[in-house]
Amino acid sequence: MTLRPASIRIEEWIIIVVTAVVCLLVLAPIAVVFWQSVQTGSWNGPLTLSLANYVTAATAPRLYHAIENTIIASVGCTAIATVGGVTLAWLVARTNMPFRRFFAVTNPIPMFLSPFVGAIAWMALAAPRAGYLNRQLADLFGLPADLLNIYGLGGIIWVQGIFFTPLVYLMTVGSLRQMDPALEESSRSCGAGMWRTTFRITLMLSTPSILSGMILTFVSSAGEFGVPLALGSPHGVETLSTQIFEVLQRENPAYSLAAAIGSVLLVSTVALVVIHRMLVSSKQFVTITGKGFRPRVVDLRQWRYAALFLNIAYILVSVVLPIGILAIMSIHKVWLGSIDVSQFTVDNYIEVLVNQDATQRGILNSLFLAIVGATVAVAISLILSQAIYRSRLPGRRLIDMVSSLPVGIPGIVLAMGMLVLFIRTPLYGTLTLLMIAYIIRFTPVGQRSVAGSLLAMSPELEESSRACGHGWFDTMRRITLPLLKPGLAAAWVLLFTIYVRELPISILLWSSGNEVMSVVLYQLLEHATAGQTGAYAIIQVAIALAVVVVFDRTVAGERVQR
Amino acid sequence: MNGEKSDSVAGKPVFLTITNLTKRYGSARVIDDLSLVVYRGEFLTLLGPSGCGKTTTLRCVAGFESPDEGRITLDGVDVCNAATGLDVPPERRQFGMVFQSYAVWPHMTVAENVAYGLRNRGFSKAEIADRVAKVLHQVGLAEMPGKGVTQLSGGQQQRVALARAIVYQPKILLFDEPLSNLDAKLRERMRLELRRLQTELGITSIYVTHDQEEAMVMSDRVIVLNHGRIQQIGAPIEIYDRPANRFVADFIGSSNILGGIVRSSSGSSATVELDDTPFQLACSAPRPVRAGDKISVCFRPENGTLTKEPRPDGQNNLAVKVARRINMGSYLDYRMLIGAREVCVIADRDVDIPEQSSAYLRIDPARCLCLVD
Repeated sequence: MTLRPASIRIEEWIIIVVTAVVCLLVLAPIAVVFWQSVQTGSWNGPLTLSLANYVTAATAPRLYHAIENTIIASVGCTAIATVGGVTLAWLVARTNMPFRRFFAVTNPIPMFLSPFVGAIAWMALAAPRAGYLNRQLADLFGLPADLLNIYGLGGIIWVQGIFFTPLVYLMTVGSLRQMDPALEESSRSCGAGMWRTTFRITLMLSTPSILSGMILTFVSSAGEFGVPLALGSPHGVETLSTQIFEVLQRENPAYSLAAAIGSVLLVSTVALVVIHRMLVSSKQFVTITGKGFRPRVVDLRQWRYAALFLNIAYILVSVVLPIGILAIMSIHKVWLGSIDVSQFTVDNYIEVLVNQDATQRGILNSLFLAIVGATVAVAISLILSQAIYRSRLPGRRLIDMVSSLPVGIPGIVLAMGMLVLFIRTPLYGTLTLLMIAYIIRFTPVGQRSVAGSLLAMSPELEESSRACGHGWFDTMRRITLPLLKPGLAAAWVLLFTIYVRELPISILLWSSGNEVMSVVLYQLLEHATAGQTGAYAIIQVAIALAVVVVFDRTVAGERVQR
Repeated sequence: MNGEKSDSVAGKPVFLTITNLTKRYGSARVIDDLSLVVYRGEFLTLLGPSGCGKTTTLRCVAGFESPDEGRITLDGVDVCNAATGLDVPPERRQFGMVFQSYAVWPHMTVAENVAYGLRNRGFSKAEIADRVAKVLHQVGLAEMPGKGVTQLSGGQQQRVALARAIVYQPKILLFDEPLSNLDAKLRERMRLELRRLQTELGITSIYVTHDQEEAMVMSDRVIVLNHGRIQQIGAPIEIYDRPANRFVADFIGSSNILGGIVRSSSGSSATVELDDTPFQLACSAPRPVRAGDKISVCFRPENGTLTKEPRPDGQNNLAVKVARRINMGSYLDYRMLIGAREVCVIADRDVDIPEQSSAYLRIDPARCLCLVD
């Protein structure tokens, strides 16, 4: 056997190259947005360096209102998501609420749905006069038909709040399930009652997880585009992300002004992400040991049914009512806000699935982007995780930091950066560019999921394969991949559902022939009938949920076999 | 740092050489200019407290860590040389390794786990089956090749890991605290079994542990490490009887350690005055000391003899008062104060001295060591 020198091994080259490309693609659009924001002049004329754009942004009343609206919407949405998420998590993980196993499955569902679709559904439910709920309340109780008004800030907060609730919910459930029951039992033995223990011990110990969920919600909410686009913009309520879109859609797109607005948004959200990471890494609370515990269950007594009602209400407003109203809308020839059997038809589905080219292309393009994109993204996540947690590369922490940044980059800002970067290249207007942008924007989502399962796997499992004489690739194929399969599949499914519904990036980077589902849905919302919009929304929801269900069945099936 | 070679391995050829190995994590030196040799066929144990660099040294030999400085030569071939940038990847170093966590692959059966290391070495199917069966027999798992490894007990999983490591006849076997996850009874049995198997196969082995008993029972030679430096190299009995310094005396077995000042010395013996006492002790000094040196006097609980009456010879006879007498079942454990320090001496059950009564403690001068820190 020959032993040749190998100071940098092949796998290390792969890791270095992939990591470098990802870091570059994360940082370049940010840099470009900042650079653009400090330049003045027409976009194809000579440019000068100045802060004029920031002055314009700060002095224009519309932009001032957009900042105000963004803050109010994010605070409100975070409040709803936190109260809802923590309550539901505690009920599911720690109480004897009836059917809590069922709700453990259903409560995360809104995360797989599109908030934009949710906004469309809630328009159908609670638009003044035309909304289904308003009509029913008026007919049944004689209430004014504009009792509920989904348009404006209140509606934005409501829809974002219920759709971001699972973010806080999942983080909290995780920490509640892994808490050592002795921590609570010792509180009870010190004479503290059940409620005191719950508030002073249980929830306090979950604070880091709850805080993580809150920051994630706030950041996602500040960058959210689809909901304010549907519920705010048509009624003059703009947020920063819809403002950026509006500025870029003008006859003469004001790139520099958009970049200035984007920079303001970007700096705030990225700062939050960085603060969050510092909080998390300080590890003040080490209650989460990773040991399997059987957590203590609180007896709610007669309050059990109040809890049940609360959870049913959540599933109703976030899943059943939105999907239900879209489904009903989609089978009406003409939708006037109430069910009319004489109007029933399947024409809307035939129209969007068969007759119209754009709607068909949207489905195919989105499926392509979601399937191929999720696969590439999972592979990249795996390589990044290896780089951060398994390799001997210098600067591993920096890679970790950079690859987590996109959480704080609002989609519309990233898309603007990509637009400026690639507008003069053949990549502009292609599905490839869309895919690159998707992958970059959601790198941290896949990364966190894959890294989680990699960290749960002892490195000795890989090292013993190397000891047996198998190289890096062999070890990857025969040990690492098979053992990580459930984690990788979960990451793939999550990314698939995100890509299939992506709007803010797509709406800036699409071109004719490269439509994706959410962009087509926006066009249908603007120009087509309620029935067609409903049908298309239902198709998007069905694709996402089908993948989730298939994954769940497969994983559940494999668990039984073991 | 005495005894580069011990008698039990004299004449055996050197198989692995580590020269001037240094590994830093940030500014901390986990391994500090460490050099050692392993002889062909020997069972060498790296022993030390956690953080002493023993596992890192083993991982450098395996190629899972790259040293900052130094060179490792295995069977006459350099596998790692920081000066030239040579660092052979683990899979081409031809070693077998048994890990603390067993690290058996849960998605494979027992036989698949064991066969894994043969798959890439050009063996025929029949040959693989043959070897797997043979090695499973050797480790006592002949009946369960088709079982999933997750169904096995911890001890059985560790046997699978062992079978997997020896099946392809590696040049060297590396053990990273392989028994520390097992319960006490099983651990004691596995020690002897491991050693028996290693002797049968004659594979050169490096064994890492923090358990001194394990090191004593299994090894041809033991290397005691602390703060990334070698404290002592020697056969287990040598290390126990003649610890080279205070750290080794304290770490291996239980020792009474008292501070003192050398009054006079000649060759390998010295007279020491114990701190805060009128006592002078005749000690043996493994390393030369000079009058006036501050040193530690060490003796083991079994090297002191307790009597009611003073003994006639008078040397190293200390008048003491018994503070406590603890019944340990098969023997008695006496505690008494010498100066400010409590010392412990064990005695047969028929040595009957009540608590708080006076007694005489004699410490064998040959077993009473005068050690520099």
